[in-house]
Amino acid sequence: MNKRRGDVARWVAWIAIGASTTLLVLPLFVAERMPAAAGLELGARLDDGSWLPIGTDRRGLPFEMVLLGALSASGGFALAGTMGVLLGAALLGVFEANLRARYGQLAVQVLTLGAMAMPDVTLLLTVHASLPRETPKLAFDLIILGVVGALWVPPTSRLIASRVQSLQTSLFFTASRSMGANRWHLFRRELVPHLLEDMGWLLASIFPRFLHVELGLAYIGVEYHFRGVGQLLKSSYENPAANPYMWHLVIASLAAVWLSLLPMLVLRTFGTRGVPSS
Amino acid sequence: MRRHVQQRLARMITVIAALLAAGLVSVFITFYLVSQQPEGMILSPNGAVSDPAPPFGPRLLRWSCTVIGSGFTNWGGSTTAPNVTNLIRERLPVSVQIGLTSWLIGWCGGLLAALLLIRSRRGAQAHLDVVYPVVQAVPPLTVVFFVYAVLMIVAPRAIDRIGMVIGIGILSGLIMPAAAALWLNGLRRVLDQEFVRVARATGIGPVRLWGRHVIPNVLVSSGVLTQAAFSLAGLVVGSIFVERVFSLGGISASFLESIKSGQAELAATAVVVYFTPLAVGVSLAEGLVLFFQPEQEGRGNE
Repeated sequence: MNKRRGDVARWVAWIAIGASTTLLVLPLFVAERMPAAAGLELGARLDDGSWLPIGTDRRGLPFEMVLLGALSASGGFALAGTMGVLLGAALLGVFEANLRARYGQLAVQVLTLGAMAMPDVTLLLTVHASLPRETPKLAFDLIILGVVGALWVPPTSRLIASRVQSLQTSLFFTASRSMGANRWHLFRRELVPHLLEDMGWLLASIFPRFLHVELGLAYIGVEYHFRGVGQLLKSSYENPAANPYMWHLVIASLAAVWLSLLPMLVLRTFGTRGVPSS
Repeated sequence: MRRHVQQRLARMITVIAALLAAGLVSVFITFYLVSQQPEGMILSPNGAVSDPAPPFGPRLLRWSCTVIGSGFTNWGGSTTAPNVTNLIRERLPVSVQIGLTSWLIGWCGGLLAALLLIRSRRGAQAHLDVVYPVVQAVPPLTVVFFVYAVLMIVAPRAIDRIGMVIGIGILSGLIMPAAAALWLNGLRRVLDQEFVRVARATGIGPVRLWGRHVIPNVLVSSGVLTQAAFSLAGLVVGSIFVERVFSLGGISASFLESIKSGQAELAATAVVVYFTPLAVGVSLAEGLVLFFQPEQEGRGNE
C-alpha cells in the first residue's frame, strides 16, 4: 500500500515537473502577443467585448502569457546565478580542503567571514546606483550575478570543503589512494559522486535566494533587461485598488513560490532527500 | 588548558579583526560609489545648498572626523535630512522593533514547537523533511505580497490598523520552522546522550535537567546560537520589505533614497547600521561557542 502510494506520488511529481518545465520554456518560443494576435479569447470582459480569465497587464497583454514569460525569465536568471555559485564554490571548496598553508587557511577564513557579514542588499543597491545611466541593462544583470555570486561563494565553499575533507579521511578514499589512483581519478570517481547529493541540496537552497534577490531589487526600483516576476509583482502592487491587479498580485506570488520550490521537487523526485547528508 | 584558552582568544581576535576590516571596506566602497552621483549635494551650515559636492577624499575625511569625534553620536548631514542623527533616532526604533520582536517570537516559538514535536517521531520527521525545506525555499517577499494582496481584497482596513502586527507575524512565521528544526535536531542529539540517562537515573527533576544540562548543551553544540545570531541580522535587513509594503515608517525608505540620491553620509550610516548587527551576531556566536563550550561540557557531564 505504501509502495503504491509512493508510486502515485512519484507520477504526480513527474507530471508536475514536466508541465512546469514546458510552461517555463514555452515563452522562449512563443511571443507574448501571439494569443491576442491569434484571436484567442479567454476570461475577463474587455471594452471590445472579449473575455480574459484574469484580465491583462498594464500594457494590455493577456496576463497568463505575461506571467509565464516573467517566470521563465526569472527562472533563467536564478538558474544562471545558481550554477555560477555552485561552480565557484566547488572549485574554492576543493582548493580549501587541500590547503595546508596556515596563512592560506587564515586568508580563506577571513574572506568567508567578510562575505558572510556583508549586507548584500545594501551593496547591490549601491552598485546599481553608481552605474552610469547609459549602462546596458544586460550588463547590470551580469554585474548583479557577479556581486551576489562573489558574496555567496565563500560561505558555500565552506560546506563543500568540510564535506571533501570528511570524504578524504574515509576508508574507501584511503584505499583507492593506496592502490595508486591519481588525483584526477580520485576526484572523478571518489569525490564527485559523493558531492552530487550535497550539490543538489545547495542548488535547491541557492536557487530561491537568487529569486529573492531579483524580487527584492525589482521591488525597490531596479530595472533588469528582462521582465521578471519582480517587476510583475511591483507593477501589480502599485495599483492596489485597481481590479484585477490585486488578483494578479495573488497569482504571481503563488507562481513565484511554485518556481522557488521546483528545484526541490525535482531533487526529491529523482531520489535525493533535499537535505545535506551528514 | 591555558594554551587552549590562548588559542581560542587568538581566534576570536582574528574573527573581530576580519569583521572590522569587512565593515570598513563596505563603508568605504559605499561612500565612494554614492558620492559619485552627479546630484550629490550637501548643505552648508546656514542651510543653503552648496556648490557641487567636494571631492570624495575630503568629504569622507570630514564625515569620519564628525562621527568619530562626536563618539558616534553625530552622523553628519545629507540633502533630504539635515541631521542624519535625528532621522535615525526617529525611525530606526521602528525597524529594530520589527526585527527584534520577530526574532524573539520566531526563536521562542521554534523552541516551543520543537518541544512539542520531540514527543512525536512522525511529526518531527515530517517537519524536518517537508515543512522546514519548503519554508526555507519560499522567498519572503512573495509571502509579504500575498498576505498584503489577500488583506486588500478581504479586509483593507486591517492593513492600516494592525499592519505592524501582520508584518511581525509574517517574519516570525518565516523563521519559526528553521528555528524549530535546529532546536529539534539539537534536542534529539543531546537527549540521546549517556549523561542525560544518568542524570535522570540519579533522580534530578525535569526543570534542573533541562535548565542545567539539556538546553545549555543544545545551545552550544547544535549551532543554534550561530544561526540565531545570523537570523537577527537577516531580520533587521528583511524588515525593509515589510516596512515598505505595509508603510510602517521605518528607516529603510530613507536609506534607500539616500543611495539613489547621492547622500553618501546617510548611505554610509545605513551600511554601519545594517552591518553592526551582522558583525555583533557573528562575533557573539563565535565567542560563545569558543569560550563556553569547555564549561558546558563539564556541566553536562555532572
